[in-house]
Amino acid sequence: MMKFLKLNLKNFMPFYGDGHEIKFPTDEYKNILLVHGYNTYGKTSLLRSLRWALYGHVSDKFDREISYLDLLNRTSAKEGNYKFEVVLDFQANDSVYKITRNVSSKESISNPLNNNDFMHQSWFKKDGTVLTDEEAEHEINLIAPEPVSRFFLFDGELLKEYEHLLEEDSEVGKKVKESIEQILGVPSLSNGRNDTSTLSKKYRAKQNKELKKTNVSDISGQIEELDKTIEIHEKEILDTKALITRSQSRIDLIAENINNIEEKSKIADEITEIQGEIREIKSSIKDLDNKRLEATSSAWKLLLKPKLLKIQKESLTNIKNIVKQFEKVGELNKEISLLSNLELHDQSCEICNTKSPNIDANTLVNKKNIIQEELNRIGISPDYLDFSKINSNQEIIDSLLNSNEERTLKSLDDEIDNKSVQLVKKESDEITLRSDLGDEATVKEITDEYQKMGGLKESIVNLETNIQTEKSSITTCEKQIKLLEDLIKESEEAKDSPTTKYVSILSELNDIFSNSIDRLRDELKKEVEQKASEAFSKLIHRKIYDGLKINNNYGLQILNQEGDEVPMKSSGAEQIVALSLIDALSRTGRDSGPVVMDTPFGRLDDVHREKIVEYLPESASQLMLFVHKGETNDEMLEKMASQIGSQYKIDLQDDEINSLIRKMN
Amino acid sequence: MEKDATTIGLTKENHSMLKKFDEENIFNEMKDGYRFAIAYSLSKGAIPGKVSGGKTTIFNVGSIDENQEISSAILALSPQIEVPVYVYAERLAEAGMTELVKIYRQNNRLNLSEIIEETS
Repeated sequence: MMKFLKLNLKNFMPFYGDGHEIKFPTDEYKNILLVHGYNTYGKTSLLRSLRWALYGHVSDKFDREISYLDLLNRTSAKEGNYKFEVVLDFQANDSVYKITRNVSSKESISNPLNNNDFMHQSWFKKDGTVLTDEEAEHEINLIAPEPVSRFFLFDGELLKEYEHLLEEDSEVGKKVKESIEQILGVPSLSNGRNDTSTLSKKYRAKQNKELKKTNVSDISGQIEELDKTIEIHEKEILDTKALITRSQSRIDLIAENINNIEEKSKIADEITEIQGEIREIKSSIKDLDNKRLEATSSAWKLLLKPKLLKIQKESLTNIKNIVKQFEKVGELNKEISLLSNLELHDQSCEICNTKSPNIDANTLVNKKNIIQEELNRIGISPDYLDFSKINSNQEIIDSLLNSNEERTLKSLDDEIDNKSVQLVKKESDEITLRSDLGDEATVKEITDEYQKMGGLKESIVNLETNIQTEKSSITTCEKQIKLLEDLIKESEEAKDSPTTKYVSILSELNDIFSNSIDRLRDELKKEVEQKASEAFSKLIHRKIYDGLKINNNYGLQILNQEGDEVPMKSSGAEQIVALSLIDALSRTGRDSGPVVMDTPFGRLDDVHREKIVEYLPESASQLMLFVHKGETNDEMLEKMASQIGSQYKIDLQDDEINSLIRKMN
Repeated sequence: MEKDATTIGLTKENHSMLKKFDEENIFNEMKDGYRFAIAYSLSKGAIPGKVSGGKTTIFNVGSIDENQEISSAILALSPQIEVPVYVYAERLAEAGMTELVKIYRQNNRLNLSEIIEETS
């Protein structure tokens, strides 16, 4: 039983530097490893590091091999260090293995640009002894054959692929079907059939030569012609298959292109939105500029405001003083008038006419003189001219000050500044998006691409029909050959020939292989169906289902207790079915081993997540779950606690770009 | 006292700068810039003398001071002037423009709000 022991990474993808280590749990009852990490922090890279360690290559989601430059940590590359390394320790079949793989730039290359500029080295040790490449390949094929790896090293995305198995005629489904048959051994029988067929042809050709001068030479000649016809049909099939492969590759490219165009289309939409915002800001700045310009007409008054306010204040004081003086002059004049009256009316009181015997005439004159002196000192005649002048000046000042443009001009300037900053930001965003966009994508381009794809799909269907026609022609030829061979076998001149015997044996072997392919496929399907049903019954929460039924494409359908197919309505159910299939395939193709799942719980509810973590640790030797925060909760972790052997967390390094692996207590 | 001016202007250099201010939308019209220059001198308490060198006539006093606000302001702030008010206004404008041009050249821009704020 395979178990991972330790993984060490150095400059692999986001894991800059060395010291990134994971020790896998080896306890039978605590065999869950949890790796927590936000999206984009490096969970998938961790999964890829395991795949790369085992097989020396790793593909992206489009099945394209990831280049060494992309596997190398970018910071390390920037620093001119082009070496990365993965070391994996594991045990299997009572032996301990260590795979060390590293890639570094060739000595003569200072700036590697593609895989040819790198050197790939690997050491595969079994119990401390280094194995040759062939031995290493043999060991890996025994322990964890690469075709099976997609079932035990898989990410959540894979589940979607398996859901395509449920769709009739799905291209993804066909690929997955091929992959499943690959691990189930069907190709071995197909190869056997093809090999015996080739050998049959070879010996028939030999037989034909031997029988040239016999009375069955005509029959032999007919067989030779039929073999030639078969060869033509086979060549036609090969050419057609090559055409299909090319068309399929073009479809894949178009699909990727559509994906890119759609991405670009989203960017183009964002640009359009930003352009609208930029237009709005520019128009708003223009309006504000116009308002500001209008406001500049009275800006000169604002400059004078402080001085005018000062003068206004002084002027008010002056007015008050003048008013006071007017009042004082009035009072004094009144007093003089009273004193004059006293003189005129025999010193009697003006009001009550009472005589004032004590008032001396001289005293009155003196008093009048003092008042007059005071009036002279004040020096203002009761003239309203000055007052009127000051008052008029005051009105002018009031009018000049009567302006609230200061606030407006300042606030307009501030607003224009703010808008200008916004404008610069938006324009910079637009430039960034434009550089992301490259050539602008259009709806027409997408439509054209879809049309191309549709055309190619149609041509693939036609080509497949052609292949079927060619195959049926071959079958007809083969039947005719069989009949002719029987005639030869019965002829006196040929029946004892070793070549005839070879031809006969090979023909029988070919029949055995041909008949076995379908039988093996059916039996393996039954086995997968049974194992998937077992897994499904443990994984599904509701116990109203009887199991799963497998179809020709290895798609699975849920059966109710009456044995009827149940339509799958939820993506969660589809995911459980896909997981059951993967588990079954994983166990059909190899001994029980570790299962690594990256982001496995995507669309599952809590109940089914718990079911998975209950079931898979029993089914697998180790269960490694790379999860993001949204996939787990405290309750779930608490329930798993007794089975968790170790937990790690992927964090960002101080540079906020690279990642590191931290062991959690 | 000499006869008051009926037209007013600036030296050639300041005139071309006033045009530039107008073109750069610092002011709505050249008249606004001219008034601003007068006000700038007044706010700084400048007592400008006679302008030496030739001048370019730019405005009729009627167009620059339709409501006699400029002349009133000058008389209110500089009541002791010894020359007619528009002759004095022209001197103020020349002195003010010279200062504004300096600010403009120093900062590569002329921000009216900042200048107003600075004088308050």
